[in-house]
Amino acid sequence: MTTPVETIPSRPLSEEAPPLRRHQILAETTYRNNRESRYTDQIECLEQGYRYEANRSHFWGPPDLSLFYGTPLYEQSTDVQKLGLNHLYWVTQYNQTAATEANAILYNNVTEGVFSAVGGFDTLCRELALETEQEHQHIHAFHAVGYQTRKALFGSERMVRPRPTGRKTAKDPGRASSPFVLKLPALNWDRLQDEACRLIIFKLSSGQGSCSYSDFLQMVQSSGKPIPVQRAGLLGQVVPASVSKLMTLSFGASPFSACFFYGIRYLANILLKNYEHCYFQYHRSLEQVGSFIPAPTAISYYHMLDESFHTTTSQLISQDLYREFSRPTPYEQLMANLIFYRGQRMMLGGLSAVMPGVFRHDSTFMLPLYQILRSSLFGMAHQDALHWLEQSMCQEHQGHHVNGAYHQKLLKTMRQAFSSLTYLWPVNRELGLMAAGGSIQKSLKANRQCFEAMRPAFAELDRP
Amino acid sequence: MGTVITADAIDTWLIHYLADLLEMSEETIDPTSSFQELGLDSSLAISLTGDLEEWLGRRINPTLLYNYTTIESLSSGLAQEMAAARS
Repeated sequence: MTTPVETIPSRPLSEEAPPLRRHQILAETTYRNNRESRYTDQIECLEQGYRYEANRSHFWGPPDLSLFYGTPLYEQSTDVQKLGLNHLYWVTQYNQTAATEANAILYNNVTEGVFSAVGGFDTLCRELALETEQEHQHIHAFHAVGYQTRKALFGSERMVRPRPTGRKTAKDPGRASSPFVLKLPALNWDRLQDEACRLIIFKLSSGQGSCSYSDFLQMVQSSGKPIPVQRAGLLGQVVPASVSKLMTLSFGASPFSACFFYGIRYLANILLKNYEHCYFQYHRSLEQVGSFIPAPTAISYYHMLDESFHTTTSQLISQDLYREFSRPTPYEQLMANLIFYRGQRMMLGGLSAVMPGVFRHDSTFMLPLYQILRSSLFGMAHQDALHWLEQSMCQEHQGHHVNGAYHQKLLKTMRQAFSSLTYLWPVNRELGLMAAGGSIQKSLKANRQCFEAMRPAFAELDRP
Repeated sequence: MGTVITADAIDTWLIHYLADLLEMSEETIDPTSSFQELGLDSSLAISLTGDLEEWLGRRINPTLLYNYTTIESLSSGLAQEMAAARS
């Protein structure tokens, strides 16, 4: 729930008052408009009143925003199954969005701490704090709708099943590898590792560990807690676990790197908008004819309106504000490019065969989709499920071309968005990995390899 | 819920929950393992938030599942947040 509108003091019109810079004007306008909006409250109301039964017989978005859309399986699905696939698409997309918004909460705090330490960015810091508060509500709503929907569709069926390989148990207590782990007794090696990371980053960053070090990270350090990291969402997956602390510290160590975080956040904003705008338009079309509007459709609609403020902030900081600060050191430029490159490869480097609007190959979707085909929604036997999965993932169909159109639209927008960031390598500025990943042939090849590699995992899930 | 839920109680609930999900005995679940090491994917966050809220009878901060990546740290983080909310 957002708090009442706070009045922003107007600047005196004396001749001595310095003119507001473009980024200050934009920050103040965005903050004022966001504070006055009530979109987050609308999302909270919709979440509280959500019951799957009241929404189950309606599409929540255009039919092409459905799992398996354009595949032969989709064509021969029943109306009830098609509705289920449309609803599960929403749940899947917003599960990923929730994880990426959790990244935003952490790194908003880290980078707001930098702007606060530098000083002079009070309105921007207030806007970031407001956005963080809104992200909490968004995530809760996405989880709540996802939870109730899956419960209603699958009941007590096990739809969260572990990946059957590489499971670590109490009898296998190996630790994740890290470049700073030393196996010696009687010292707090975790803390030592954190200190080593800090020293390295301070040395390599333009902030030099001075007055621009994040207030938030300073507070975490003072309370004896470890450097915070996340392992899900776009930024949780973009670097290996052993480097994630370095990434957090980098974002918190200098104004340039803090601003660069908003470049990645802008990329995530654009990726989300590529499909969320379809829900927005769907909502409008229902509204115009006075039809019933499903609660998840309305949540998407208000979320897009809320996120429009966040997108403006991301754009403002990553494209404009960073010019106010020292140029990046070679380390900062390298780190920014590596993070962007990895983000491009992981989130934009492929073409899903079964989820329009998703630009990754389908390795992470194979087991969950197999389970959906085995569930009561489709009720398939093991061999039938494998057959349809193979047809959908590894054979060309109309869905590839539908997703290809989404890909082209997004590629054009991404290139426009990042063309002015001269510190990015050409492969990043021109979205080279994304452009190469839009190939149907590459998608088929990658999915074939993954499908064959996962046969043992499917067989294990088939056991009673 | 009137009673105070401790980190130990949350720990016990989580181990029981995950043992059931993973079809393993509770003794073989290491509370210091990350959810990722246990083989669980990001869709766990949806189920775990919902089931934890049903058990606790209260809303929880949904980012806990992203910020705390092991059973042990999640139990302790959640207990701390609940204690802070009471005070």
